[in-house]
This record gives sequence, C-alpha cells and structure tokens, in this order.
Amino acid sequence: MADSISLRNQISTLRQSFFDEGMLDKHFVQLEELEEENPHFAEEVMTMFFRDSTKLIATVEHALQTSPYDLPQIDQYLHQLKGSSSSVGAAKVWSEINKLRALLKDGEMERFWTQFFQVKNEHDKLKENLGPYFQMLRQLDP
Amino acid sequence: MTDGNANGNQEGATTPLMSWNNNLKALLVDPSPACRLIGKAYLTAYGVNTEAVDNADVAIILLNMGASFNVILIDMHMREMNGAQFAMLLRSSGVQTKLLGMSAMFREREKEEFLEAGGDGFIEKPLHPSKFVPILQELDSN
Repeated sequence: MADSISLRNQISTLRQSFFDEGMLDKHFVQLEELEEENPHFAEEVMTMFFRDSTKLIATVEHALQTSPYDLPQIDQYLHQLKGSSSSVGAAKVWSEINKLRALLKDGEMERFWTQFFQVKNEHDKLKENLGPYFQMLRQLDP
Repeated sequence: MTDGNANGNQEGATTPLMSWNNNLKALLVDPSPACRLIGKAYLTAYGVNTEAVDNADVAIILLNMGASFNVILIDMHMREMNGAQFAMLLRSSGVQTKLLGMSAMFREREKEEFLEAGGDGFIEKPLHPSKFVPILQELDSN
C-alpha cells in the first residue's frame, strides 16, 4: 500500500515535470482524458507517435544527405511531424520543428543542420523520458 | 437531441458521451497515425461510428465501394493532394457528403479554395470534442 502511494507520488511528480519543462502541453492532457474509455490510451498514442516520428526524422535526415535537396518534400515531412507532435502535445518538439521550417523557408541551410539536430534531440529526450513514466503507470494499473 | 453524461462502465462496453438523433458515421482521412488514433478515439467516445484511413486514395476507394458517411474529415495538407483537390475529386464523383477540412492552422486563401472546390467547413486540429461537437450537432439537426 505504501509502495503504491510512493509510486503514485513519483508518477505525479514526473508528470508535472514534463509540463513544467514545456515538454508536454494541454493536448497531452486531452489524450489522458480519453483513458476512462481506453486505459493506457495516452501510452498507445505516444507509442504510435514515436514509431511514426522516428521514421519521419530518419527520412528527413536521409533527404538532407541527398543533393540537391528536395525542399518541398522535406517541408512536407516537417509539416507532418509538426501536425502529429502538436496533436499529441509534444510541445518542445513542435516548437523546434517550427523553427526548423522557418529556416527552410528562409533558405538558411547552414543553420538548418544544427536546428535539425535540436529537433532530433528534443524528440529523443521526450521518448526517453516517457518510457519510464508509462512503465510506472503500468505498475500501478497493468 | 440530448447530451449524454460521462458514463463509462468498467466492463468494456461504454456508453457514448453523447447521443445523437441520427446514427452518425464519420470518415477520417489523415496521414498521421497518432492523429488518426486520437480522432477516432474521440469521435467514437462521443458516439460517432468512425472509419480512419491514411490517405485520399483509400478514402476514394471506400466511397466508390459504396461506403457512406455523414461527414468526411480530411487533412488539408496531405502528400498526394490538398483539401481543395480532394474536395474537387469528391464532388466530381457525385459524392454529396459533408466535407470538413482539418488543419492546425488555416490560411484564408486555402479556405476559400477549399470552399470553392466543394468543401463545407473546417475543424481545427488536434481534434477535440469542443471543436467537433458543435459541428456534429448542426449536422445532426438536419
């Protein structure tokens, strides 16, 4: 019983930190709202999101290694990444993608690579942080 | 038309959060798996029978096979075609279904083009009951 309380506290603190650090926003809360009908829905959505976004990021990275750049295609990928990250509440990822798209529009390809790695870092950081979080949630409610 | 209460029961079969005059059926067309999962979960939770597909071609095939819906929700910026192009395709095949364009952010010009092509309206992404319920209520009252 005491374990469960301490686990709940850990989960709650961790969850709050995601919002405090701006990694997640209210759209994530909206996913959690659906857990009454679908337990673990937020985890399910995030898993799907990461599966797709990881592939998209790899695709963009590959496209950036092909010369000449197919800029409209790259922008299309980024647009999709932007849309899905917004939908799941991945606020920091979304924000970094926006910056990346702006650089693409302005043709600022030198800064583009640096910013691309920013996107990748924030994305991977979110993935690494949410893993243990969902694991703990499953311990509480398998 | 009555608004339901949030009545999930523990055993699996859940009462929808809303009841409608008509048996509402929606087709959701979105390339993002996370967006499809979220959109379908929300619509289903609110009592709308929802089919979700990842591209316009599959949507057209479904419709040509005779599947019928009360509303089609389409992402405005898909790879193969944009919302206006889909609207044109749909209307030229004689499909009268209400068509709503989805986007995180709309530009005036694309909204005009969409409406001119035969689109009916717009829903902001990410999909959330606060956005789709009023639109569906209007649809349901006809």
